[in-house]
Amino acid sequence: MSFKVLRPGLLSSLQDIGRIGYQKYGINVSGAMDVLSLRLANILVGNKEDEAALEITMTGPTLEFLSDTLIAIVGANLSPVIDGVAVRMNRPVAVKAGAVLKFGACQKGCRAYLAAAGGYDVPEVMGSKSTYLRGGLGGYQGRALQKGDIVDCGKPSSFGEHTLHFLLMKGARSFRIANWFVNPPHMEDANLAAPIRLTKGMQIEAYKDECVEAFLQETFKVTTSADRLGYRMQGPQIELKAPLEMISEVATFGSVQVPPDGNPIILMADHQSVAGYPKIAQVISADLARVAQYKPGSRMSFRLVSIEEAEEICFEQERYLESVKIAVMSKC
Amino acid sequence: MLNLAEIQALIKTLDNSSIEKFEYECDEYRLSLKKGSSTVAVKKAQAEPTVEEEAADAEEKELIEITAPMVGTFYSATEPGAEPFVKVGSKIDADSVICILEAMKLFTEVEADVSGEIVEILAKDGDLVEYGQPLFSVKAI
Repeated sequence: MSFKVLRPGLLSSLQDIGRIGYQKYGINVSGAMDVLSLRLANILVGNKEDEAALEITMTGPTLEFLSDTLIAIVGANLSPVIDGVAVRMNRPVAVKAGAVLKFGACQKGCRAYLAAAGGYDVPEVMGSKSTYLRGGLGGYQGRALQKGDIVDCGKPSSFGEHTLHFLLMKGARSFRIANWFVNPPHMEDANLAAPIRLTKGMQIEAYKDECVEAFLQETFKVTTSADRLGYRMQGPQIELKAPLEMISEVATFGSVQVPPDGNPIILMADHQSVAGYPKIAQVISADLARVAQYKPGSRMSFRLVSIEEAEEICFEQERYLESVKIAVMSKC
Repeated sequence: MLNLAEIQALIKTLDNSSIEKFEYECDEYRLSLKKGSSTVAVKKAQAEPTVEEEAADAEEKELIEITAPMVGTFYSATEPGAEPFVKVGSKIDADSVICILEAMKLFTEVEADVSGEIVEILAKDGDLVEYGQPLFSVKAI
């Protein structure tokens, strides 16, 4: 199974759950911005959850399938179309050799994940297929996809094989969708627009009380300087009580740090391994997926939660994924 | 026809019981006994207008029930607020998606498997339905 890139789209790169265990050597974790959508897409095609998928950002690529492939698209609704016919998301789709997948208007969200049964056949670098774009590391030759690239898929699991043949046997001009799907909770309108939940940052005490209050009550705009490394936000100025010189220390995906200019930055998947700015808050792990779906220009608000609440929400999300996995297994 | 002895026995049994009213009907006659009144009425059964009934039966025979192919929560549309897949009067064929059943976070589109016209929708959004539970009444056309 493989496909050819006819048009690369804005930014399409291979990402899995990240390059874990090497930050102490200065190697960034990278990985999918919306790990929840990645995992769901993989489950739908019978892959291991942490398999690499194609992360598609806002303007999607045009891909020509060179062989029959089972795919699933989860995350942002970027209006996927195969040979002129709209493709439903969040479910397995059997695509025939020769079919061309295109994307159109960005209707909701920011990043979509295209999983293929069998995953993507690229070398693992330090245990991961994620692309660290700035470092030219991993993924498809260390970079985003370009016109002319041919991306190979691995060997599908038996679920993937079976589902592909089952769907194609039902008859397909270019593709055939399964009659079952998932409904990712974080992409539901009400949930997506709800305040982003965070826990207190390690240096929250260093900030002026009225600024912390403003941080939790006002809305912030995602500026155009928002990418895989971090989202620069614009809103009320967040000021320290007194100047603070910090030794660079741990920072992670979701850390909200505030540089001297007073505009918070939410560190994202390509965050640096250590950071020197004080951290006011930490986005809870369960809400990272939602942050990844906010586009430049959109507005975000924040809500403080306890560590216990953050854990419970995380467990809830894991329970959801378990339910989906069990339900999908019954479709074999 | 019951004979006198039988009717007497019936009256006696009725008297000794707490039954206030007793009615018995067969092809040729109808017997009605009521406690407290001194009259016993025996009426000749009226020939029921059978034409209407037959017609009704014939119509009912044409109604097909689409039942749930699995246990799940019934939804009439692809998402809350969206147009339902079908309404009363919608024409469907075997491939038409008529509803969604959700189980364990997985949503399955249910296909009609029959052709016809929706006469009645027997479940509502959010109902937990059993395997085999009737969901739609369809008139074959």
